[in-house]
Amino acid sequence: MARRVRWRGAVVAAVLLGFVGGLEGNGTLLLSATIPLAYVAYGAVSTASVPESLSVTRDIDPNVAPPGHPVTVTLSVTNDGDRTVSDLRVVDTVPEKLAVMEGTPRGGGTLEPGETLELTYSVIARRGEFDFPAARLRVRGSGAGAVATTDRAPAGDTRLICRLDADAPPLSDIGDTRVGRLTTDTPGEGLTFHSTREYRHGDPAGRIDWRGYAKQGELSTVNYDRQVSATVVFALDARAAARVAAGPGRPTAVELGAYATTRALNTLLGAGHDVAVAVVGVDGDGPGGLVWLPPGSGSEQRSRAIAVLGDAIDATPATERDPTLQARKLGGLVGREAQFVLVSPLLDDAPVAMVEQWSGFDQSRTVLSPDIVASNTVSGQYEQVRRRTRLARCQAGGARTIDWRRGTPLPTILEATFAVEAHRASGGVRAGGGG
Amino acid sequence: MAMGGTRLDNPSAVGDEGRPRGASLTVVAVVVVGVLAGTGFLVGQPLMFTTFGLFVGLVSAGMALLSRDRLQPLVLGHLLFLPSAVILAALVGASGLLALRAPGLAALVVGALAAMFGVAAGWNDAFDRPTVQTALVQSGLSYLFFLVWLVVLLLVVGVGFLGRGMVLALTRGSGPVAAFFGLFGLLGLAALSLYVAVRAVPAIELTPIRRRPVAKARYGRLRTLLIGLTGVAWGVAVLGVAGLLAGVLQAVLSVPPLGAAVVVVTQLTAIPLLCVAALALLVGVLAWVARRATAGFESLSTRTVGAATAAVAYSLALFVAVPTFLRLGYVGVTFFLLVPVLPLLVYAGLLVVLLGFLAGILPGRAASPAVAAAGLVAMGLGGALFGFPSLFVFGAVTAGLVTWDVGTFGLSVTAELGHIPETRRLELYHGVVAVGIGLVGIAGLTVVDLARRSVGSAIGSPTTMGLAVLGVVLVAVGLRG
Repeated sequence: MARRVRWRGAVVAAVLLGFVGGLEGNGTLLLSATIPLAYVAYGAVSTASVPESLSVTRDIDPNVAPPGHPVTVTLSVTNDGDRTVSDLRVVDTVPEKLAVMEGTPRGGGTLEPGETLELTYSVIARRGEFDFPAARLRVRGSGAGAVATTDRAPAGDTRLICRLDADAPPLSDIGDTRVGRLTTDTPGEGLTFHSTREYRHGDPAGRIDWRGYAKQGELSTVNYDRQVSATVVFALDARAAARVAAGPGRPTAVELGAYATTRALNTLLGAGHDVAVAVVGVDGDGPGGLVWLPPGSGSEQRSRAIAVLGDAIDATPATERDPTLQARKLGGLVGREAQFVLVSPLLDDAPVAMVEQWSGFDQSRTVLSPDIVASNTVSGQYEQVRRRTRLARCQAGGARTIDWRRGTPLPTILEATFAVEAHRASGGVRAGGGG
Repeated sequence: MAMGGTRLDNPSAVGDEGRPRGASLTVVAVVVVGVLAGTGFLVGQPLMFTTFGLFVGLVSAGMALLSRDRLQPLVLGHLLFLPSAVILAALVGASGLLALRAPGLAALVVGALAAMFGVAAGWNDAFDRPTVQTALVQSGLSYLFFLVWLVVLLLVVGVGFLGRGMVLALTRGSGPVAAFFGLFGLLGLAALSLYVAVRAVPAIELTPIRRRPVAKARYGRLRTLLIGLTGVAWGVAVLGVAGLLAGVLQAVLSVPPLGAAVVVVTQLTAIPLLCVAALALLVGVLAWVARRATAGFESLSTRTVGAATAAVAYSLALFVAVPTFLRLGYVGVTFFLLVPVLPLLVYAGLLVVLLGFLAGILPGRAASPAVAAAGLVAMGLGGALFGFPSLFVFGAVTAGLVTWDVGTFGLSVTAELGHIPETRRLELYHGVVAVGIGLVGIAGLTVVDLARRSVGSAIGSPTTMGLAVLGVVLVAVGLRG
């Protein structure tokens, strides 16, 4: 138990009143000098201790979350004893790397027996695992001069796990088949009837329209909707310029980009597409110093991709790599049918140059840009204008642009981004939509 | 506590130690108002402190606003602070004089002002070292501007009278030599004033961009013409001086048609030239002020402009009030002459407070409850000396202790839990306990006092008093809360 000195002024008042009372021969003043002394005594005799009967419980919801996802933490302190705790103050210790976005981890009150004090606050998840330390309880005596403080480990949740694939289905749900589920205008092999055409020598017997032959006496071959898979290349901007956050304790643009990529590739892999991942701005073994995961599909590809993205978040950014050159290399690594998705906060002109490089390969391009620019300051608004100008430049260069504004749920954005347009006038297949 | 659209205090979610929580401050305010109302009832004027309360509140609000960065609240802070502080300084000064004859009454008045200020400053979070320092510097700056503005105004008025006299002399008919110097002197002055105005007015900046090169060239030619005209006019005047010394000028101007022409031209042009010069200078000064007021975003310029604006407002208010002061006779004139000096009392007071903070006499974050508590104890002291009933004395001293207890408790809640959590119940519980202990103490002491008076104890004798004081000190030192 510690003791706070609060009544020095009272001692001065007592001395002053006593002195003037004595000087003036004023009995009232002399008597009034005992009032400050009474308060001094009241402060001196009060005691404080944190009762063992205070039980603490913490609930973290959800306790597994992706980066940028709000997590609600509720700390409950219940007085299980039979005495009132007159002055209880509680502080829940939030891990240093997490920032409280709403509510407060502090609270105080008077707790009668059976009563519960509840603190509710929310934090924004960042990639990693965060242990919540013990909560700090402080009890004061009735005079507020005696203070007792203790750290008490709460029952319930103590850890927040933040993973890129936290809200993705389990690995076992991802099929390993490489057959795509996209249909095109071009007829071919498949399951759904498309049309019939004149029989050509060598057509499989199973595709001959025998019923038509019986009726009309002419051989014809059945066409089905051709099902293909697309190749989508995700390029994550992990340069130093992208490693910024909207505020202290918030996820960086690289973390958000990796989460968006994870979520998107999960959807595409589930639909039977091939997915490749490239990380720009980090030293890797791939062409041009890229971190490069070649196109593939299935659950193994997903786990490899998530590992690559996780490493990209933790890696030290490379300073001597030219992103434009890396983009050119990347364009040559995949065929013309491949589609590029650049995930970048667009805080400088390099991503725009990358998109312009890909236009030379005539490949479909999409830019998904997490917005991490604060707009509540003049400089922030200026930076926001510049960022939107870059988005417009990407769009003018033929890329589809998606602005992932803060507060907008990622699934909504991705649904808009990767709503598959199966049919295109040219007969090609696009996972990212038109420009 | 909103004023002019802004809060007077600057709350933050966590760790703001400046302002006690609302419930604690409410308890403190109720206690202080109770003691003030009690004083009013005892002297037969229950509302006697309301007028003082207004000025105390304005001073406190002004101090809070003087720490702002934006111009509008800053100017408002200046206009609230200094005039109210001058009135309060006059009151405190008068109490000082009163203390020579009735120390109890003086202690009552000063204690009441301090208690009210403590509560107001607690609400506004306007009584800590940085705030007092800012108020001292900011308000001092506006006072300096005020003095400079007064001097400039007096100079302008003096020069105006002088110019008027000269022009009247020229237009009413003067000798050809005087007319010669008057004509060219005024011509040079008018040309120079126009040059200054043309330089200061943002005419080129206001011209559409496509016409700017043409405008720039045109204004450049105009400036060259004006500065050339100034040089020629004053050059002719200097030559005239040389001619005057050589005796040539008198001879030339004594030729009847020439001398008469100079006199006539001077009579016709003196007033227009002087008007042109005065107007051009006025436009130039206004344009310069507008440029300074709108240039840049730095706080230094905002604060300088705020102080200068306030100084202009003070000067205008002073001039508007001149007829009122004159109507009051000698008293009014004396007060009018004292007004420019009274702010020095305010700044001396602020300096003393600042030294109190620096020396640690005033507790950094708990200064407002400390001042309120000290004020209430002073009221108790003053009430005892003035002859108020014992119940009032006990009540005022107890109120001081309760104010300190509850105020510092509210501060600790703010410091530990911030502004967001709902802590009203916690504060009210402590406030009720503190007030309850105080009431029990008052009741006990009243009984003891009645017993003492009824049995005619020897407490009044100097020996007993000395022993009692010694005992109080020893107990106080022993406990040392």
